[in-house]
Amino acid sequence: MKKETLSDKQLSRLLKHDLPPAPQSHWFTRKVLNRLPGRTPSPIERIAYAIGILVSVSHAVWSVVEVMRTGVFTVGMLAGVIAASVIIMAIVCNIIGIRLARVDDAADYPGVYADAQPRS
Amino acid sequence: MAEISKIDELTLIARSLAMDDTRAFGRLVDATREPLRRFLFNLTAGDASLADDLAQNTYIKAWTNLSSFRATSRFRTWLTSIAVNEFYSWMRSERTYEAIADDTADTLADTSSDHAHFTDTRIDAASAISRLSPVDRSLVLLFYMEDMPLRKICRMTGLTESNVKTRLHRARARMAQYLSSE
Repeated sequence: MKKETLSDKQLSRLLKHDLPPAPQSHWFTRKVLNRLPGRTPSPIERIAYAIGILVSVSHAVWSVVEVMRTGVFTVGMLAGVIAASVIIMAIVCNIIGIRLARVDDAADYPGVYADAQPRS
Repeated sequence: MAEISKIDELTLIARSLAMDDTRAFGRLVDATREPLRRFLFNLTAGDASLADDLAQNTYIKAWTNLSSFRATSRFRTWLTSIAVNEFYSWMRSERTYEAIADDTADTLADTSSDHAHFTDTRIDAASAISRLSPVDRSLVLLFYMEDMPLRKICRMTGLTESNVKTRLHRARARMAQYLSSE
């Protein structure tokens, strides 16, 4: 290639078309996915989770104390205890569920594990 | 890898963010990795292993800071700016870089001889750009290959506009001189 001067257009064309690509790396994406750190909940999420658990546990404790004090177990108390349990379960499942989903997704990506060797 | 539309890109980013969906992020990586790896491969003057390390770090930074992505630009443009920062950080941490950079033309020539698909023109272009200093190389690649506007390059590199223009002018002249002597 013989050129005395280079215009902006020529240089742009030269670089866009003639610069070599990086050597092929079939395992690049899986290496990246394997190194992705787990995402921690944002402060707002943490506060929401904490309030949810606190309110639910308080309600459950209050219900038990009331039953022991009065000896009466009403339908309203039962509904409250069930609601509190469901909320706690939902929060826990949400946190664990994200982790499980990540493991499943990683497993779906072929050869995502660090020690995987290229097939010959 | 097939390019994805901006709508698909935003959908994948939203899925990655909302559900911690690594599969969605994997699709983003698949769609953007080749141009990014090519950019870094030439930015590092043909050091494939360094380029891949920087590219991996770029994607990890993108994943951890995904919530700060503004949809005003394409995901690839955002990745490129992270990649440039990664390269500059690496340069600051490596005192031996200049020594490596001095030897890059030979390295590139050797590397290219391993790849039958590299044409003479490609070796010329790669050799010409590898003769520039790392900072000039990054400016040339951003401006001429990535078509990034000067203002954005200044923001990315911390250089003034006049400094960028001077460096680009000097780099272009140096490349022209090298190519004409070949």
